[in-house]
Amino acid sequence: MYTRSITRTHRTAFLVAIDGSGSMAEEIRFRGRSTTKAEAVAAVANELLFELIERARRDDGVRDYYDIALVGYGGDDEVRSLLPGGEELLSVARLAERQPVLRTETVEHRLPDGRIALREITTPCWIGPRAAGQTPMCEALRRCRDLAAAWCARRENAQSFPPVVFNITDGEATDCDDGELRAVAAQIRALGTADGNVLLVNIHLAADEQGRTAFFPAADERPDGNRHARLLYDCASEMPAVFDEAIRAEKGPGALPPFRGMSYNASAAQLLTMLNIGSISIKTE
Amino acid sequence: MAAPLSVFVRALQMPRESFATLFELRAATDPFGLPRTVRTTRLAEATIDWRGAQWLVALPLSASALSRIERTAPALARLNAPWLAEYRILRDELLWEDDMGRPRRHDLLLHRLPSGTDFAEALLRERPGRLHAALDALEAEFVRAGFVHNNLKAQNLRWTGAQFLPLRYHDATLGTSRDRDAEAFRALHRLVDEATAATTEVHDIAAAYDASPLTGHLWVSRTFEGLVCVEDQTGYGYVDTQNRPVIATQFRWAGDFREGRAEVETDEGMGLIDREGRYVIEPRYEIVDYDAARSLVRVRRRGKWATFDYLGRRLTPFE
Repeated sequence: MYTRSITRTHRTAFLVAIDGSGSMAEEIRFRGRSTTKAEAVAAVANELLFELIERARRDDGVRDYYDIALVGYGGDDEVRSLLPGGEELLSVARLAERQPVLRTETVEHRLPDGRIALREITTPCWIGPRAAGQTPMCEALRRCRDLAAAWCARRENAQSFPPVVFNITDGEATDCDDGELRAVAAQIRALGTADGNVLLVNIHLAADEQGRTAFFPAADERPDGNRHARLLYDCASEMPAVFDEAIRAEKGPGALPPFRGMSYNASAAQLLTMLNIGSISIKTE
Repeated sequence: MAAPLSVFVRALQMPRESFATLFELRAATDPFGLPRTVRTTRLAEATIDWRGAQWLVALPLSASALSRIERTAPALARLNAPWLAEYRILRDELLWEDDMGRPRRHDLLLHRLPSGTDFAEALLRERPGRLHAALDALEAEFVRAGFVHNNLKAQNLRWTGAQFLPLRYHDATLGTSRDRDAEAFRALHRLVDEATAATTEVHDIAAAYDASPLTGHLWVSRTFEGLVCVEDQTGYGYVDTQNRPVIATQFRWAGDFREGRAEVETDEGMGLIDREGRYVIEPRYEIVDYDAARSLVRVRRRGKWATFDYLGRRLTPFE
């Protein structure tokens, strides 16, 4: 299970739900800097998209290794596709045809003598920061559920690596109670292909005075202080055992599985480094 | 676990802070100023200038990607063949900080890119007989050394003007007398034949266009950060890699871009510009000397020096 290589003949899907609600205007510490949740969400989403597109790029162009959905939620209980033309699902090659906005970012770094120097770097942006209105997370996850169900039902996807749903949020759903959110999360996790069930990964960005972060938490790292974080932990998939070694390499040898598909004030783009994207075309003995 | 690609691309834009050994590198960029990277299933690769030569620096894309190279690299070093370019693993070379604030290090692969052109350009420039002979010579060298490339194709060959040299031998094996690359060499010979047939009538036009896309200038520098400094009748300025004007040729003199800044000189004096051509430091000084490594600019006015920062703010008085 979860061992199928992601290739053009056995594609997978990545469904990214992005919270753009009013609470995203709040300030948080993220990567050592003060920023808004909306800026942090956009940074995480753009890095995820960059990683997905660039990992599919070869010398002959971007190959169709997977389909991508971007589901934005916010506004007046609004759930809508953020893909060009409002399409629900695009192949990664078609998404790559869309030229992203290039943003010049000035970053600080500390020199050996302690002074701060500045550098300008260019980063591509497909998603801009957004902070307005309600948080219809439940409806957004229902949309992801329906997209994943339709994708898994297609005959050509039956043997593929299962879809991965990333939900990037500050965790405060306004269109459901905890039970309803748990229910839709369970419905997503119950979907799957012959290679395994759909993985639901929650990326939780929240104000945290202690500056805590978490990456694929183990059972003893279940959040205790933040109700929303606890709920998102419970809703997330338990990571399949095949990823345990890679996650332990990241967290340290003391970390004990099972791990949850969740990050707290951190990106989960490193999950993509654990996936086997593309086929080995070289001739080996 | 491997580093995300975004970390690698960011590092290539901030080499001083991101590489242990290659901190002086300059990465080739696309027209938008982003480092140009090429991927295979296991590696992401960038072309860099470093210490006066061109190199490929590659990031393993998964934890297992290095294991084969770890076996290959020392064996190739022992082979000591003149047709193999320098190829080594740089341990703990990529320095970055993860989202938990932990300092991280990752191994990279460094591969010398011999002077020359790629296979496609060789097809345009050289007589087919010469290329066939060079392929035969390389195949003979492989067999003599017991070397099997295992991924030999046009993209993995470099034409020096006299011979083909192999590149990207990450999966090479040694110690066999059989010509396991024979099929690949036959495919390359076919490419030479097909190109000869297809380009006979337009060979001269295609060669001239491909060999020098940045034509129409008095002088052309190299590509730095997606921009090429050029000199026209109206002065120095910048074009992108497709020869489209980006910053008008208006300067008496201009330097290459480094870390998003370039020194320029007008009739009024020297200044510093950003990638949009806006003045960060107005051109009214005798000397503007930008230190990209420290993000500082030394500026001389009437014989006295002051220090400015990256954003053009004066940090010290002129003295």
